Amino acid sequence: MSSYVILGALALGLIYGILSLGIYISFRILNIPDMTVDGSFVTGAAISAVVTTHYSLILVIPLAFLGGCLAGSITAFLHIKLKIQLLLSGILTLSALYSVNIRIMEGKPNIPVLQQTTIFELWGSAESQQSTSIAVLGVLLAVMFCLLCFFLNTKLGLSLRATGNNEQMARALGVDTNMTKWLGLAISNGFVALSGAVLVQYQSFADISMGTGVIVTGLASVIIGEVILSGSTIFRGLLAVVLGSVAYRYIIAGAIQIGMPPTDLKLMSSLIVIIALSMSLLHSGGIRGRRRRSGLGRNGTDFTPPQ
Amino acid sequence: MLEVRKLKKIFAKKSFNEKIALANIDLHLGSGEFVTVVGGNGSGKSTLFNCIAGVETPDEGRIVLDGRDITYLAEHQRAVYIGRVFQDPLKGTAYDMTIEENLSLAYSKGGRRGLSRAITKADIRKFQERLSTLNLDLEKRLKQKVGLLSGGQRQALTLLMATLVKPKLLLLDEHTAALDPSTAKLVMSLTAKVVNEENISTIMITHNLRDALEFGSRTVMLSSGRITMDIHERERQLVTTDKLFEQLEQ
Ligand SMILES: Nc1ncnc2c1ncn2[C@@H]1O[C@H](COP(=O)(O)OP(=O)(O)O)[C@@H](O)[C@H]1O
Ligand SMILES: [Mg+2]
Repeated sequence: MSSYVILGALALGLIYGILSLGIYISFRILNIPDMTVDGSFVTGAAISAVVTTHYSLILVIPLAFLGGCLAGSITAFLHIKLKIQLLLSGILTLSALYSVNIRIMEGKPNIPVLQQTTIFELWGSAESQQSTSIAVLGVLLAVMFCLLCFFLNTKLGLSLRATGNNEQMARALGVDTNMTKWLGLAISNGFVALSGAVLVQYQSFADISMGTGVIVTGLASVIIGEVILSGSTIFRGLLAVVLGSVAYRYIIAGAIQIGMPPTDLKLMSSLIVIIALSMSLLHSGGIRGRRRRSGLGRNGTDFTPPQ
Repeated sequence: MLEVRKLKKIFAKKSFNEKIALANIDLHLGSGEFVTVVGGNGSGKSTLFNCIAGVETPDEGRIVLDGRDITYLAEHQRAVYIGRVFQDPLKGTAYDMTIEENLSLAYSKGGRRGLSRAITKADIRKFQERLSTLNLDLEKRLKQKVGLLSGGQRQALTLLMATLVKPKLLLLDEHTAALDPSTAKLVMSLTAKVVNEENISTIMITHNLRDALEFGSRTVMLSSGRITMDIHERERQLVTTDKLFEQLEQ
């Protein structure tokens, strides 16, 4: 592999690391499958492209994050207030976001941001472009990582984790689980949108279809991370996710190097997730074994509507 | 202290499966009183608890706790005043979180759950002190996940969590039924200890008739959603488990 490929994979690993942290919040911490992310990723991307083109670059990160929070809040509203199944709530939001995202992108299915300065071009010269990018990405990911790690160890963060772990207990201890679920879905999608926004800055264009399947990408990263580093603390858990995201990019880069067509990527991502999930099923004592530990449905209650 | 007035709960109302779980319950509990509840399967014991705790909304009647009408108060809001221990040891704790994190969740009851550090040094001292009263050596395992504990240890921890911030009312729903006899005995003696020391108003559902007559000062029997027996101190001392069993069978 050339150094260009190696650094390129690292950069993508860091960008998608933010996405994977977001997906970790919904799938692992809240223990619920959120489909919104495929749409909120593009919302972040669209905001990023438009804000860079028309407004100030400084606004990209906060606005993209807020846009994602809003998308997650809509799913939370459908699920919590209108009592629509979570999976369906996510799909409804995802579908609606397609139109919203096109509107944000001023009716165009893609926007190039080649003429404008991106967050990566604020520092460094043209020659050192890629290493500068990686430094900027590293700092951004580190900041988001620390914020999330701090948050999950606060009283509020603990309530959020308890909600995913044992909702009945959380409520019995006075946690407003509707609020914590909403908060979790909002933050999760905020991370995802931020990831999309940064990707636009990195690749200099936004495309309406760039979100397709990011949910599987994020899941694959989370699962690969758990194989690399077993997390007994929140810090280790989050670190595993980031390592998983980078490792995932190298697996892809390797596969492409040995001749896999890039269009097979999504097939490969799905296969990674399927294999990993079936492995955890085997580890937990077979298909009829303890459901609590098997893959995603750690409580065995994932797909039930709210009471 | 606790007043349950004319409480009625019907499941699957107006359907073929309609089930009157609570027909007309009147129950008054004095401050610091410890009541045991017995009754056959499906007699409405858990439903009564669920209505008091806010898991279920009653169809009729009122629930007043310490002068405040809580009939329609959200579950998490009234949880501040009510401690609960369930039959299933898995239900009362978060398995993927550590002992100290579980305790911190319980310790935040009634306080703000904001962006302050979940566990401070002072909290840890407090947790160790309270855990040591269980005599299960859990005070040395604060950073271990609760999923690693045995059922009895988890149930003892749940009991501690339910009383860490003193509740106005403690609800125990067959909380020793899933444990082996010696562990059940241990958890029962821990229960009696904390309830007596802290003088907590308590209702305990149990299938163990000996426990029902031994603990607390009053025993209530439920049958088909009605209270069919309510015996106090002296009256209760004259009742044997055999007599109670006979009464249950009727
Ligand atoms: N969520 C529910 N939906 C329908 N019926 C219920 C529900 N919960 C309890 N019941 C019914 O109400 C009756 C009382 O149940 P419960 O209070 O759990 O009894 P106990 O705890 O005394 O064994 C039972 O007939 C039970 O089948
Ligand atoms: Mg019951």
